[in-house]
Amino acid sequence: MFRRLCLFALLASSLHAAGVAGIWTGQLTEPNRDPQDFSFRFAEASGGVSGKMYGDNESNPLKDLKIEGDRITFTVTTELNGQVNKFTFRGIIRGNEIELTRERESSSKEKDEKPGPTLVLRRIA
Amino acid sequence: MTALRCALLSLVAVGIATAAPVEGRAFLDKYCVSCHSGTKPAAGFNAREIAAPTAETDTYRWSRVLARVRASEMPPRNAPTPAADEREKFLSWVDGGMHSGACANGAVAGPIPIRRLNRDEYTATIRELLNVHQDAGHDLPADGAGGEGFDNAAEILSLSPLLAEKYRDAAKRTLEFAIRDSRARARIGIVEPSKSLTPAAAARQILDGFLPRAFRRPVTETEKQPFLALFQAAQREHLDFDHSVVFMLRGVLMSPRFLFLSVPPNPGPVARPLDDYALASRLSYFLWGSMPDEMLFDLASLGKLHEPEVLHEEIGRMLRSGKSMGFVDSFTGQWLGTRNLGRDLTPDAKLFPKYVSDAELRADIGFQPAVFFHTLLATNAPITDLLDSNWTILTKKLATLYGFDLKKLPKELDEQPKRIELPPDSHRGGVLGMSAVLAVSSYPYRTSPVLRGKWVLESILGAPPPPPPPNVPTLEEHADTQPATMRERLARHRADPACAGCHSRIDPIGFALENYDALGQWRTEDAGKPVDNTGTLPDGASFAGPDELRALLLARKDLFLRSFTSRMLGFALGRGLTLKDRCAVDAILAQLSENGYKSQTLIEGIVMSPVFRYQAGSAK
Repeated sequence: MFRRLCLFALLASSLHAAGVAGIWTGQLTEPNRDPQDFSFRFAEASGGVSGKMYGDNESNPLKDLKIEGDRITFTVTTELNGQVNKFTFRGIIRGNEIELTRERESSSKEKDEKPGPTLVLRRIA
Repeated sequence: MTALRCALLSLVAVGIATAAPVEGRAFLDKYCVSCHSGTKPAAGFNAREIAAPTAETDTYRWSRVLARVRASEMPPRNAPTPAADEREKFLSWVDGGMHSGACANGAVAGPIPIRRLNRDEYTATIRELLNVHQDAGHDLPADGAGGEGFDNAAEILSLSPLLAEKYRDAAKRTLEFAIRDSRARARIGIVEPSKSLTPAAAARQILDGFLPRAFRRPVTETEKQPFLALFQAAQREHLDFDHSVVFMLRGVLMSPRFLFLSVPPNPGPVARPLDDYALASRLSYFLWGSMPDEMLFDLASLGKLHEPEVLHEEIGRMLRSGKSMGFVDSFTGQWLGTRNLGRDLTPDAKLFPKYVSDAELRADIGFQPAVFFHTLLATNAPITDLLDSNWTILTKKLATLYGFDLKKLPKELDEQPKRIELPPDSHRGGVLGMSAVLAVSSYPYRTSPVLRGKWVLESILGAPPPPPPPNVPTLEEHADTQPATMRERLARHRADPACAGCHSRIDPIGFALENYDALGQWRTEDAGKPVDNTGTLPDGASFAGPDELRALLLARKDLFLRSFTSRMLGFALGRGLTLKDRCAVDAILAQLSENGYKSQTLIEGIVMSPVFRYQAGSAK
């Protein structure tokens, strides 16, 4: 029975991984700021799913990427001019859309974002 | 004769629709056959035998006829000359015949000539490829303009042996810097040899990652071999690992596959779509002036980039990206001629000391047109805002230069360019109110209604006047007898019948801008007299001041939109337009009209057009 449950859980996880595979984009709109583009790529990997966030110059890998049911969470760490920001994304997968919220922990004195703004991603490829 | 030289110009400048076609044969018989007929027709052109103008037959000859009659080079000076309307009707007959035939099947694919990366594209590409923030193309010569007036035109981007040496030197210098920089090493993908990784294997690993990005497409094993051989040769010469890698990568950066944008020839008779990698490069060199980014490469590798909805998303993303400033700056600087400000033309230091002494003001003046256009694109504002708008881009220094009351402007206005809603009667809407535009259409020490009128005809309406006839004295040559104001001096100039033909169309447009001095500052007096900003075109259209000129241009926006679309399409394609490309322009103009002239409709119309996404077959 336990083996069957494990197998089912693994299968469900793989199905979700296959479900999110592709390139997703969206715009984050915050008050008094220009809209910010976000693009991600999710891909099936051995035993689950991997991903990256596209940047202006290079991409950043997604870490702690988990998909449980329709829930997705991952973190991205960026570094710009010595300032390190860790972003945690949490969201819900709805077909070809993912609704994410973003939280930020900054290495600088800049205020952390908690809870952060909402970002709706659409699958484009 | 000079008056006739302006026949076409006059009609275009005042926006009158071309007359209905007449039998052009009568024109040929009357003015051409005396020389162009018989057994030995002049220049081998027999006006009796040429078929009526269409897009299919004798297009080269008809293009030559069109160009020479339009420029009043034909009929020659010593022969009977046609009246202005006669010439115009003939040109309309030729042009109409060729155009309607060319567009019978709508927009079609065109040629994609091979072209070198120009200096700016090379610099931007090296920056992306190596993550080095230095001007890699600093020592390369500036590229001239070709095609539709841009330095990315294939017609001028060849590679001479001397230029190849300069690219070689630039690659060597940049790579030797990059190999010592940790960020650049990471971007190149340098891996160190170790006990488990031989130097040759490490070099291969570096090349596996670097070469597809440098060539902007996947590469074959055969393509890698020459560069691996360079690494081995360097090793045999006892160069250390890093310098052997530099030697290998110099080869990559000197390869035609890096230095040139090209697609394999299409030998068939039918047009074919560009593959997704070629499309990625075409898009990125159009909208960023640089190589594709990782996402474009990924979309190409998935075979998804050509899909209309994906292209739609990518156009929006690319235009919103800061990288699009490369495209915007290059396009506006060359379209408006503002790139020349501070290079070929600098306002006089005694008359405009602020311009010379204040580097920030100079930068603000220089950036304003590009930031305006970037904002226009990012917000999807109408293209017609370039003619007149209720907003502009300002900094505190620009606002002061323009005489704005800073108390009435938003408090956050500082040294950063910001979009500002203009107060009524600001006279600063569109590009005609910008200092950079008004300065490049002036002399360093005074305004010139002639230069400004010519600038409007050329840059806004796409109808440049013909060059002045030889031996015409300049205004300055009669200084002792000249009256005080520029208007009075030009009135004398126009009194000469040799000058009147063109200047009656050019000068009134320039007069309307006389409230702006040679740096674009507002003025109400010139040489101690009130500025007379009135003008009347030959068709009777009268206006006073820049605002009424803007209204006149807006009322005749079709000419501007056709000219602007043609230029943008030429920039996007990196070549001059052909007769058949005009069909793509027609289609894009129709889309613009349906969508309220939205700027992203223009960009999307170009990218979605067959002329951008397809390659014509070379077989008949």
